[in-house]
Amino acid sequence: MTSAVLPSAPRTRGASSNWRRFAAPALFYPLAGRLSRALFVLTLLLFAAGLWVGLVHAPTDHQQGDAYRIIFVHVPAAWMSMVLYLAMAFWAGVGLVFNTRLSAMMARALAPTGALFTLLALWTGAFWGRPTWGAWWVWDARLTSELLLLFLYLGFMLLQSSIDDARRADRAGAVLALVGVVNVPVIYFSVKWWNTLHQGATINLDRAPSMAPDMLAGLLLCALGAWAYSAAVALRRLRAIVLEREPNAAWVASLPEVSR
Amino acid sequence: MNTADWNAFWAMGGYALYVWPSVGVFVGGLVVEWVATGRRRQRAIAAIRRRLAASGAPR
Repeated sequence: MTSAVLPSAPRTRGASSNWRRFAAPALFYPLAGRLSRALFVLTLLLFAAGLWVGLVHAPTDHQQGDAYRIIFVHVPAAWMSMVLYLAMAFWAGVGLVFNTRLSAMMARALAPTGALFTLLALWTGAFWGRPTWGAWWVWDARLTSELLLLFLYLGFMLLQSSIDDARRADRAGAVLALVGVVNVPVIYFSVKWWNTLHQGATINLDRAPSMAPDMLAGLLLCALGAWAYSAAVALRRLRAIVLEREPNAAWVASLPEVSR
Repeated sequence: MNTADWNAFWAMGGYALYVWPSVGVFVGGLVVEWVATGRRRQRAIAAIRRRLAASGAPR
């Protein structure tokens, strides 16, 4: 069954209706392409600057020497692992409540990137822990809950791929994603709630960071780079998912990359 | 930038074996993911074009 070439935009009542029309895959697909490419350029600039500041410019730490420089990849990865899970759960929830399939597709697009950043946080954390704590791994609250986050991402992806009907898979995955949200504040507050080997928060919402300015600058640049990258790659993956899920649509057949 | 600076950069104060596998896997992981995602989209496009060619082929 083919859909209309391009759904006509409903006569708008205001700004909010204008945005909702992008829930149509046909309209969002080209926008996602432009956004993804722009965000990728931004990613390159931010990481180039951030890694230069972090690996070359920022001073050596007087306690940890140059080993501390792992912070410039470890912390952005950890932050994104949590942020992407919240975004994934959000879009899965929206898809569940409003029955919008593009929202569910966005959750699917976010999951692999979230899983990757979780893995990178654990990997870089291990390489930082070995020289500083003497251990590649400890079962402290933060590390354990971050490992649980990885299992939640993998569980989400595996659950959805095990259900043949795409919309049923969307809904089942959404329930799992939403239930798992409770783990994110656990990760975040773990260093406050429990006695952990992992250090406490250096950057807080309510007081100044206790970090040298150049180090902080490098960290923020890399964190923004990781955010821009995540958005770019998720939108890129979303475009692939849309093409996989809507292969018979007329608007797909008339895409330049398909009809050339 | 002279060789001494360059060597110091790679040495990372003696922690090279910890810093470079961290940074390297991070950057490498993102690059692989970016490329793999592009390939996924190309495969989807190829599948659609195959189906269109098969069903729309003039008799």
